[in-house]
Amino acid sequence: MRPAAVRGHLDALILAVLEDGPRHGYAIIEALQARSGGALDLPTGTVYPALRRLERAALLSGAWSSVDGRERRTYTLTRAGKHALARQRAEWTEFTSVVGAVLRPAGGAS
Amino acid sequence: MTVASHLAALDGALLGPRRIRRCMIAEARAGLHDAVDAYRDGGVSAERAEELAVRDFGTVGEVAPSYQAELTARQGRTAAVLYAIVFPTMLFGWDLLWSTGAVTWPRGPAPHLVTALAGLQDVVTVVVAVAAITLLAVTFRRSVPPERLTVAIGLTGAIGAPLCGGISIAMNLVAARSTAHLIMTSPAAAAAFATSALVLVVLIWQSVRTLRVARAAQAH
Repeated sequence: MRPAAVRGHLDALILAVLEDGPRHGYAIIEALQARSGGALDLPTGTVYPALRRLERAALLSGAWSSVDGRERRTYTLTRAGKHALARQRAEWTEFTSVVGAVLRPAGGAS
Repeated sequence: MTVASHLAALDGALLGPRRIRRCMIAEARAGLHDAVDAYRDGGVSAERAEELAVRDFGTVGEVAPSYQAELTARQGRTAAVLYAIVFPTMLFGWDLLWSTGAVTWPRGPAPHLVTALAGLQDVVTVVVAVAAITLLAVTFRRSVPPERLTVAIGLTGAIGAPLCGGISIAMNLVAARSTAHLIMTSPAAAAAFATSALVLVVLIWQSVRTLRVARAAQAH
């Protein structure tokens, strides 16, 4: 998938990946790639500033911790982050259903 | 290209608060080392693993804009916090000095021009403080582009600080003998003048820095 198309949704994708528990940067990148079946092809270096941006907006909380003997920054979804994720999910569902309905080839259905 | 040289190149392309910049580079380093480990676990040589991890990370041209945008936003927020604290503190600090009698006018009532300038000083300080607090609140909104917001914050300081400083200097030049007398005779007044001058320098320095960081973001 084209990086430009993904960029606008990166925030929502990151929030979704953190829904089931805290993760550090590289684990978030791995989860994004795994859940997209490897189709998300964006420079991994753009994920770290996105995490900081979400942290600044108080949707994530980040803290350094030692994982497997290496210092890593772990991110947790905040209450505001959970609300933002729910909202973006609803918006996305509405968007895809509306655009999908219009894009569907005409005359296909009876 | 190695992880270390790639991160050094990225660091060199960025401008912004040093602490957060180092923190972000350290985080990228940890992530890149994780990626190298993952490639090595897959049976790739150490050298090739570094190359692949760096390739996945993206070129400096690809990732620097997002890093710089974040640094610019942080610089803007830091400056807004500084202004939101310093301007009201200066206003109340000087009011307190005059009202408690810690600093008093040496001979008789203050000249009209000094009183008028003092009134203007209060108005300008309140306007700048309100602007800084409003802009600080806006930094918490995700929808506002950080570059323009940081420019607005930098300009608030770059205009507000020299304006307040200029009015103070004018006030003290109008009554130069009284000011000199105050500084000579009252240690509290001397300390207050020195602190104010220092604060003014810090404010102007921070404003210039904020505008430079905002310009770096626009250049990317």
